[in-house]
Amino acid sequence: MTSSATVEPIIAARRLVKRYGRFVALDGVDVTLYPGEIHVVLGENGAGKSTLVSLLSGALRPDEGEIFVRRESVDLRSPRDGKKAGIEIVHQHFALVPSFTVAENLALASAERTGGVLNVGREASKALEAAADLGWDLPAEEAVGRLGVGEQQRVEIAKALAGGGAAILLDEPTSTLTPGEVQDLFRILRLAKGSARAIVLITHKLDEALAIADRITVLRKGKVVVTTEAEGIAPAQIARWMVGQTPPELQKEAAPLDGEIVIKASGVAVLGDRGRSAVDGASLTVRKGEIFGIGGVDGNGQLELAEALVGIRPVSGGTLETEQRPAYIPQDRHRDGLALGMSVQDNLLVEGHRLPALRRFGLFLAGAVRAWCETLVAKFQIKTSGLDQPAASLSGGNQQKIVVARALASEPAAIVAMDPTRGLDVQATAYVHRTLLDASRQGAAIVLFSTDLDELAALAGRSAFMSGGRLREGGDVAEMIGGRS
Amino acid sequence: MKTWLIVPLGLLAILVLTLFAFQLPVGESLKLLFEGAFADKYGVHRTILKSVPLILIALGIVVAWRAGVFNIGGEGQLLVGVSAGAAVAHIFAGQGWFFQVFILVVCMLAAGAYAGIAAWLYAARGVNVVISTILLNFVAIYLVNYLVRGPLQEPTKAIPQTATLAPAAMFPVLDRQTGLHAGIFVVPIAALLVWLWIQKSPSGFRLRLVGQNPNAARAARIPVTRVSVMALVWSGALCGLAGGIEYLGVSGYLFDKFSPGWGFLGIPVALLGGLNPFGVVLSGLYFGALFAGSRNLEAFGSASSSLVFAMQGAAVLGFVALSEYVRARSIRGAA
Repeated sequence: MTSSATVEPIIAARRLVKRYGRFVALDGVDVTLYPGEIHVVLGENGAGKSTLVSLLSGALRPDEGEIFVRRESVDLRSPRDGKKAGIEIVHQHFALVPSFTVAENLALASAERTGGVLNVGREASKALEAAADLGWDLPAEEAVGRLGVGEQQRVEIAKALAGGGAAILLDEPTSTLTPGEVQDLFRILRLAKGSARAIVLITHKLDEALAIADRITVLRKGKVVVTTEAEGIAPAQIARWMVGQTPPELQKEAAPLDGEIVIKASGVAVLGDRGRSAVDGASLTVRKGEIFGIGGVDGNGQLELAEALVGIRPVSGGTLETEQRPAYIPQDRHRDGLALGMSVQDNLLVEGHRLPALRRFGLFLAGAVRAWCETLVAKFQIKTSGLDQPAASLSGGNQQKIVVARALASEPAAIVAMDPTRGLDVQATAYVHRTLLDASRQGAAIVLFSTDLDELAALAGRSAFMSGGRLREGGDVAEMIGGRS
Repeated sequence: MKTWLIVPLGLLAILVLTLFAFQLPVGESLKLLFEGAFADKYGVHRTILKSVPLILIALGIVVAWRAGVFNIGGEGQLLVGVSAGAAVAHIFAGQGWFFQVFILVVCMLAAGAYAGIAAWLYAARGVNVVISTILLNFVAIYLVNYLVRGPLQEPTKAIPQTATLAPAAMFPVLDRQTGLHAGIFVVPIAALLVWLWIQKSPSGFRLRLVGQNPNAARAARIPVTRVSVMALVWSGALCGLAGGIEYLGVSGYLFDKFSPGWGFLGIPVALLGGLNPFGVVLSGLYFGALFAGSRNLEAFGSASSSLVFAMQGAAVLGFVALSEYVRARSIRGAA
């Protein structure tokens, strides 16, 4: 990192303000990006990180303030303007066409520049070469929809690199990656920054920020708390900046091994969407009051096993016994968790509509429904301006809280959770962890699928590791990481 | 501007623009339209009668579309329903309210079963509902052509239509001069029941969830296919009800052009009503008023009847744009 005083910044944002109605998402934010730096923007959910990305990318326009690209004031009216100004974005939810091949997706990014005429091979080759320079061998002819999350992200990054932008913004790039994939991503980002590029990483994970950042900006409630060199900063200090307090430590509790068996799977086989074997002979036993963790690289049969456990995907072999059908916290809240166009109340009713207490003569009791929803909103601290607001208007963290709240609402005997804290801030994550621990203390048997090993370490009594559709039960979490190829 | 004002003002603006585009004197044409639809008893009753089949079809469309099932087959379902109703009516040759309810049920069952063909093709074979329901419209249209020249033709075999029902078999007439009949009361009842079902019941909630995000519905252990099938069958049944009301209330017989395209018009009515059962009543009345009023425009102005369709098309397009604007406003305001 060169001295910031002598180097011309690539991008400088000054006094940015963005309001949504009465809510001020960004309140006078200054950010300066220099060539050759990895700049990590840290903050809890709702701190304004995503809004900042949207303003810098041109997806939203600031209500006040200015953005300078190489000292020139720019007015970014659309993502297209952002791209023209040399700002490339890698979104949290990928902007890829699943049915197109990798090459086609890469070529699509430059379709505008070539005036609608597209030579897929030529346009894609630039991005593929850029990726190859970094040590990635992308399967050019494979449909993107068939790739794992980590590989899809590589396609996105290759797209951004080939765009030739001087700045690349990555919004929560590690939220669905395994530790190995994260390390690989960081290696690439260090190579990619070179001496001329600025890379911005948006995250809420402290350890990752410290692992890669040259400089750190911490946002809280729409304001910059601090911008500082990353070197020598203690994690606890950043946590204090982010939340104003250090989150309470989680306590792991030894599972009572003599409890009654709630979930018992013996040699369960499950088919994937394309009819291929996804789970191949998985056996597990989960007792009352136990949290059983399942880790591993995404796409190794976890989704199919989870869906079989909750009874929405047929078991093609072996036996599966559950006392009652487990409550389900699905992995992807946008795909499987929420109806974004429906209200907060309706999204809570996804589970609640089955409760006999909420209806009479085949119709909902409006008062009882509202009271039930309000209780959940209060209990799970879901931030919303009203039950009638569409779920789409909530921040990601609060959307996930809806999914968790309704699953835990009726105190189920068994719970299957997949990455239940994905995209949640430090406090909300601690809250969900506490809630799951409480549920297990009260006797729930929980199967916790998580790609976050720290989460498994914090919560699970026993853990297994999933690889190639098989379940390997290791000893402790560290051993499982060791067993990963 | 108040949100609720945006749509009616927008519709008025669109109406004015359409008249302007057709180079009609805007003020005079609006007056003629309004008088034709609302000025006297004849206008009001005409508006109501024109809107009855449109609203019932649109309610059927609402049920299917809210479940994400794009039923384009209202026309065919209506025709099959009314064919069955007419056949049974002539077999039993009854009268009175019990007979009328019976015929309506027959219409609904037959139309629901007809929609069930598309539903089965979808559930068992994965056939796109849009395509199957469109194609089944043509089957139904030619079925009616055949029936009114064959098995169901009136006894003298002179005209291609069924025998006319006896007045006592039809709905009681409320006004002899305008032909207003008691069947119109089915409309508010149907709208209320559909509203209670879709908006206020667990079953309707599942239907809406399937329509909004079938993946989330599946993850919540809702049988997505079964809900879709049920929605399409009920949608067809409501279209059959529309045919039955028209048959027992207005025509009293079945013929080639029994439906002047209600099954298709019901779709824009449903869209204009925001896929809301009560909204559909309002938009159906609006469409009915345009039909009723345009008669006046034709008679005293210089406009052709096709103008009505242009006005309706513009109204729907404008409404879709307006409602997207209103929705975006509400999301922005809430965030």
